[in-house]
Amino acid sequence: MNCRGAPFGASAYSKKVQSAATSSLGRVRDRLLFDPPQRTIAVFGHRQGILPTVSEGATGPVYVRPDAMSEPSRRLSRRIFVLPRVYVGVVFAVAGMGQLRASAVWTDPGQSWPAALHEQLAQWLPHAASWYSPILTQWLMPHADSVAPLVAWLNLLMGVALVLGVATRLVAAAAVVLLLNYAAAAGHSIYGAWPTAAYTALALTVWLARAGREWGVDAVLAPRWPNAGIW
Amino acid sequence: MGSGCRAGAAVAECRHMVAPAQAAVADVGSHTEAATPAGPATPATVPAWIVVPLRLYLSTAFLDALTNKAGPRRWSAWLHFMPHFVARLAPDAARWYQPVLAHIVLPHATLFAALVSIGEVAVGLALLFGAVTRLAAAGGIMLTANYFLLNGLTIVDVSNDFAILVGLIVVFLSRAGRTLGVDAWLARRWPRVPLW
Repeated sequence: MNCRGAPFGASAYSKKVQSAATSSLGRVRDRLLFDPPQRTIAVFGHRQGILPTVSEGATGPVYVRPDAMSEPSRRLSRRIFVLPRVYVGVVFAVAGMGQLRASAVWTDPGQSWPAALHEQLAQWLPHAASWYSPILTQWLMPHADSVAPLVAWLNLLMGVALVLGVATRLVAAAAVVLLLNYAAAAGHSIYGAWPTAAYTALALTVWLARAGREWGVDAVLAPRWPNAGIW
Repeated sequence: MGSGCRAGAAVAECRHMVAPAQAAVADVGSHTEAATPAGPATPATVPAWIVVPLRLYLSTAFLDALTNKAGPRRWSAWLHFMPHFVARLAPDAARWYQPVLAHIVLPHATLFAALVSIGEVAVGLALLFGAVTRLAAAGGIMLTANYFLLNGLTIVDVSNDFAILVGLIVVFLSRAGRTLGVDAWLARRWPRVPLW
């Protein structure tokens, strides 16, 4: 039966019922992403951990202590993830604007952004990850004049897209790729206090949560094309 | 699903059994109700394990404190170094925070250095295992807010304090320990405690 009360969308649940995953990977995916409605209830932040389940003959909400089977079906409100989405967007937009106006942190006064990028990459080159230094020396540094404005515009557009919640999954994935490039170029351990690690974690969380679908333009786009992977 | 909903149409999951008009009248708050006439009045939801990678990254960010403070030599070096470190950053700190630094932190620098290090490691371990997560996130927020003020309220570019602050706020709000963490067991026994 197509239960429209399911918080994750009727199409997803009916897909699960029809597919009846027989592979173990399919069963794991179903348990992770979807759950039978008896054990699933969308909860707000202050009510986490309290999962009423309905039993036969109940005439109203019944509180049942969460048991081992109900814990994996916790779900969170998507609104929590709008904060990291907007923050990462602001960071990218500010960085992009600074780069376009040659006033970023990396640029010395009077230095153009392509020259500053080339200088920064040259400083990083001795420390870069071994598999990344060919990319630096052969692709990025020789073409710094064309890569630099591209990076600056990408940063700005990605930042605006994240703040508005447009194509969030695509932009968040691109943000993770860009930040991993920074981490590889700079050569610091990704688990260190290097700033990119924190932003990478936030961008990954935004990608996982499809944070544009709440308080963003994706909330309008997603119901029309729900299975597109870019929002 | 049908068997569960036979009796109580007032239960949240069973509102689809109620006539759509009746359900829509009951749930006028959420914007999702405009699109789906019947169903619980809830915002869209995501699986709870999404915050677990963020929680694990934050635990590594805090456990970094071990790298330069663990061991007797490094510990005493840190206790000696911290007042100079704070004094060097103090002129760039937030305006109203500088008196706090000058009158409260620097006179008792050794105590604060010890508290900060132990706090960082405690928060890192708690977030790693998902134990007492809300308390750990609150402690992490207090620590990171102090670093944020010490670095001069820079939201972008200079340091990642604000990013870690945002991550900790997400972990706090979502009770990230209850998924794949010790809090899942703690919450089974004491579900309403605000510490986890």
